Amino acid sequence: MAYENIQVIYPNFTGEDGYFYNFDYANDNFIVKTDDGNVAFTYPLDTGITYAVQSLEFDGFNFWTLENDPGTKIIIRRWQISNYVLTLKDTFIKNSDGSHTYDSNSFTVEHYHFQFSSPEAVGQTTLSADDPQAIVADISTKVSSGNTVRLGPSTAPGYEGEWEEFSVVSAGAGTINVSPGITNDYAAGDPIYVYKYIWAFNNYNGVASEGALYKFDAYTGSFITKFGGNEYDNITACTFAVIEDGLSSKVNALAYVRGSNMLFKDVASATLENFGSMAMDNRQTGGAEIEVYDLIIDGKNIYRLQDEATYYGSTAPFSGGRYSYQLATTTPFIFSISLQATPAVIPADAGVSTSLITGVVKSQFLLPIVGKLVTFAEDDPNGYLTGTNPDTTDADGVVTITYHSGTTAREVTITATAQQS
Amino acid sequence: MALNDPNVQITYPNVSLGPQLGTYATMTWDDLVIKNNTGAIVATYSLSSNLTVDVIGLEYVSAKDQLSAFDGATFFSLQHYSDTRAVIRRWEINTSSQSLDLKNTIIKNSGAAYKYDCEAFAIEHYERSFVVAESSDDKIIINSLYRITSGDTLLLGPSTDTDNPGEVESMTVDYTYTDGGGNKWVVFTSDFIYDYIDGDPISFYKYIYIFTNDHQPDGRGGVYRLDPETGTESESNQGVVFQDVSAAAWSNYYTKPTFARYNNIFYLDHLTGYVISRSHNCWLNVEDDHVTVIPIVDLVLDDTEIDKLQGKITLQNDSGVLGTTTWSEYNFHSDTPLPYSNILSIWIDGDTEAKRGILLPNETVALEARLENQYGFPLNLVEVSFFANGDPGGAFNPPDGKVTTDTNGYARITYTTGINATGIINFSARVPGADGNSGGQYIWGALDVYIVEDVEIEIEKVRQVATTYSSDAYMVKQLPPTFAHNNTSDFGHIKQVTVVKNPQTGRDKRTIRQLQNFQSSRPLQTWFASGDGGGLGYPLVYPRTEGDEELDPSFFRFKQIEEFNSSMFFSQWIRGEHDANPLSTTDTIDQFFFVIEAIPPWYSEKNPIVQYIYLRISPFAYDLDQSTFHILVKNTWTRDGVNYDTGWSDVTGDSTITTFGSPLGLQINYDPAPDTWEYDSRVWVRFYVYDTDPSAANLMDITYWFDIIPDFRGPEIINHYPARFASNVDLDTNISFDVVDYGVGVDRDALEVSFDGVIVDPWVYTTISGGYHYEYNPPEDFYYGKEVSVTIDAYDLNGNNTHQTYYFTVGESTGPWYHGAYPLKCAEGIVHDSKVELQLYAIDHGINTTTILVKVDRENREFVMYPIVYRLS
Repeated sequence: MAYENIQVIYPNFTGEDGYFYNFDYANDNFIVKTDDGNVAFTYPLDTGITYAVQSLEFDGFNFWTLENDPGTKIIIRRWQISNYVLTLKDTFIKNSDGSHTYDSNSFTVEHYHFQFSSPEAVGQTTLSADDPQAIVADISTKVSSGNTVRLGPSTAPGYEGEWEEFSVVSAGAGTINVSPGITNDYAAGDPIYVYKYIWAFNNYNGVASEGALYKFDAYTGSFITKFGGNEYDNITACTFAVIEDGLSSKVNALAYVRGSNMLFKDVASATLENFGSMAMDNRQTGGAEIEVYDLIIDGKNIYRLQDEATYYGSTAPFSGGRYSYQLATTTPFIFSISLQATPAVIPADAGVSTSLITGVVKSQFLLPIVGKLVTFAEDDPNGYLTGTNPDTTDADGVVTITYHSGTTAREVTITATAQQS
Repeated sequence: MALNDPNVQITYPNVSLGPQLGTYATMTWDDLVIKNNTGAIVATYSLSSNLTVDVIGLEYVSAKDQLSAFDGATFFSLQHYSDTRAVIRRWEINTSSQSLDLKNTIIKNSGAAYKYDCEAFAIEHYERSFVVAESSDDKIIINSLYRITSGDTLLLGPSTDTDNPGEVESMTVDYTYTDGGGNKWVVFTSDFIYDYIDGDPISFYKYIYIFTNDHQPDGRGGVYRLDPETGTESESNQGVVFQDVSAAAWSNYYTKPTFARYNNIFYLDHLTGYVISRSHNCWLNVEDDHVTVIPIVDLVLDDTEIDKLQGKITLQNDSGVLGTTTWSEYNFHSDTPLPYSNILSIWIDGDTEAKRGILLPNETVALEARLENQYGFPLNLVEVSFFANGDPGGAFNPPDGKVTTDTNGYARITYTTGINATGIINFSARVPGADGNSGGQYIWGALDVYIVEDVEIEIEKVRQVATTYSSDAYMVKQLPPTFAHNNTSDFGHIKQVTVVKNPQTGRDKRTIRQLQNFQSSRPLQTWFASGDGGGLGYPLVYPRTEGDEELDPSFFRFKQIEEFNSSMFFSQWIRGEHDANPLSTTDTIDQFFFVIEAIPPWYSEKNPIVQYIYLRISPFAYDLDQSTFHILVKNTWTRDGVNYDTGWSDVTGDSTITTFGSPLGLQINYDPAPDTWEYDSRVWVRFYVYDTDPSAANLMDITYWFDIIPDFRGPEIINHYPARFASNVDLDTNISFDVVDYGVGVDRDALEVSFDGVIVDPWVYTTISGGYHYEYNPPEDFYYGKEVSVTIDAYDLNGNNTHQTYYFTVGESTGPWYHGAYPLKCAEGIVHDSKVELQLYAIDHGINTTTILVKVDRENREFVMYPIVYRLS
């Protein structure tokens, strides 16, 4: 198959900006690969691990791993690259007990990328901050006392590339207070990262054999709450990201793959409402689902880690049993057209009878696509179409045309062609 | 010679520089073989002591680039005898006997603190030179004093002075200094005897740095610094980075121990905490499958040349295509520490452009590339050339596809897809400046993007019906393409059953009322109707022939012929379902319960650490022969990625065995001593016994396991001093308590104690049975009356935590008292101007003199105060 790209051995990955990270738990290496599969760098671990890494996440400065000993425990670790070595910072072991049975293959870390809203100088303890995505209006809803903020890298003159971490004292709507003062200058727009919670898809709801989405404190690993339901069962890929496109507005969402759908959860809502759902093409030509092992959302790109893929109507495994990604996007494209003929049966009375042909054009989010050209055609030598053809979809993604009957009793095929651009 | 042609051609996995310019040395079991880089043998030196184990690391530490070998040229060899033993030997060339003489052997066995599962070592060594000609003196001027200290042994020479060419001698350093003119002097403990000219070499070595896969206490890898003469460990560090080290050598370019681990070369800062100071990504030490690492078995580092000894080589061509060659011997893949273009990554970028890899025709996308050298640092001002393949109508901006990297190594270009673009567009980018040993002059990066398919098609059929209708219309059905059976047997004439179901009656007016007549592309054996209350099913049975395992759905088309009462007719899809008759065969097995009872149950997973084994086994037809019974156990577990196995132990003699029943069965009880099993481990049990069948005794041999639960209990905190909630505690009390653990043991260094929320340390500990006794001496006394809240967090080695909070109360302060009052209380006859005196005393913090108030006859009086001074005789 010629569609291989990163070609990793282990079914976990994360990444950004053209670099993909893969956790080689067998050899205790953290491997950085480029899109063409070349090894860009390798970081040895400072601490070996025993179990396979099921999922790998990146919050902007920490790498997080999930290990699973099904039914016995899950282990979540936080790592940072330090001095050419991937250094273990935190280990949270969640052992099964009388209240919870742990068996999880997918997790993510709720995190936010803010920025300095104005320049700050050395010694400053009150830092101006806002959300470059303009999603979070009040910073204090996402940053609180005890959280760790990572400041930088700085672009301020004399401090280029410098960064530092602080434990937050308090936060306001547009400020973050730290103590003692910062040791670098920062320019407006320099990044501020913070992580909040760990979300793990568990195959048990407590001890019951149904799925649940567990929420843990990312600083202590302590259990906070869980949301039970079959929709959270057997989830193998998820991530936390800014969804820039496709939904009703730009949101921070927990995205996870279930079957050939991606669902977007609002983790700020008490009942975990869905922002939306997106259909994907992780299906074999025969219709069976292709498993997605891990997930990255970077900008409008969705990278699905798979061991096989369907491209242009043909399904094949990636060579050597290795894993590569298949792309999807949050940018709405035409994903489906539905056609309806009313009535579907008409007399072949030479144009006297008509059937109204209605086409509905929708995106992968099952939302209507507006303003796309749709062209109709029919295959009866005597029948014919009337109306604007091609025509443009309206606000509901709808376009219509009328078919006039021919003279032969037969099935007439109406074809609608929707243009992506 | 092509880069993938064999070069040095070495059989054993060790190599070093040779003394002679352009030569390399390798050690067999019998000889030191000197070769050039084409594999030709230059010289052979017989080992004075033959070896029986392969040398896996070789270092040359004397003067290099000489015209010939010389006496005293020194090598160190490393042998891996076992996972617990490493042997380091020092050798010297003897040119007269054409031998390599063994001078020292250091045998390092694993002990409590240091483990010697080693595959690589490096010898810290340096080469200096004479600055001026010297002749028989006790001191010399040398070009550098770096790392030369008193007691070091310097090898002078070989000399190129015409009076004594080729001579060498070893001298011991007394001291060093730099004079006012900047000359660097080395003073020896005695006079040297030969003449030298300026530029003649001086060499010395300092320490051995050996890498181990297993270092206590946590089983991670380690690096030890050893004395090169005695092998005594003087420094160590630990970390996974030191595990699986396959090769090492001393870098005279960076003057650091250097080691290879998988496809990386690391430079170790041995003078600053053994941190990694530099990491060199050998991207071509991966096979052309992009994942399989090519191990480096030994290293030669010579200034700016790196020679990696390996069994395979991956090279790229000028188009960036990789190819791996496997050698029959070990050869060099050369490299260099000098920075070069190493990795080029490209991805989709852009704010105003489409920031995604799925694009539309005639859409503009930004591509960004980042160029790094082998150390992961960006390369500036390098021209990146972009190419697009698969989109004839697309165009870059700038049109020539060339942009230059900035200070952060980034280069950015935009591309507009063609108006007729379709399918995949393959972007690639290249930069010049690849290492000349890579096989190609460029470094490439590549990225595929996809054009979203422009057209979606949906078909809706409108049925035109005749204005008059027929009474014998056809109902046509084609089974869905997923229809297939799963019977994989190769037996002939299998009956295949297919069920065709009607839609439910009443839900669809097009329901087929009855399958009255139909035609099938397969000869049907029989069919019949069956109802489930909602609709009619038609199991269709057809004869199947041998080899006809895979059913092509197209073979199973059928059409139904039916007359309808309806005034309309139309086509009808019939839903099909499929079923299959699985095959089976039977045999008879005599089966009985051999083990009646087992405690713990077989394959049980949650058993306590104190776990006896009880078995009750019964015979089938004949008595069990107790004399043949044996029970064996072993314990296996994994800690920190390391597997442990105690091996089988026959515990028959430690077990109580009794008989019961007729024929005789056996009842076994094995009650192991405490701590026999490890926490979080698996206990394997094997027992075997013969019965007394007179025709042929039957052996019953059973192996099973059960699991011991992990240690989940935190340690205990006991023997508090002061006692918990004690009162009237001394101000200067020390705080102590014991932490003991009955599981995996106390994590000695994880203790955390706070007084009133403030963490205090250091705690002095002493080892006691089951744990540690901790004691803390506060730097300042406590305040009087203070209630001190103590919080203790103790952990065991499994991370289990015990959190304890209590308090104790410091005693109250004692008030002042008076003594020696004059006049005495109620005294009479006192003269009118008599002084009133008294002595005030206090302990602890003394008297607050500002609070003294003296009243005589109810009026405040002025007074004079004198301190009471005690003199010690």
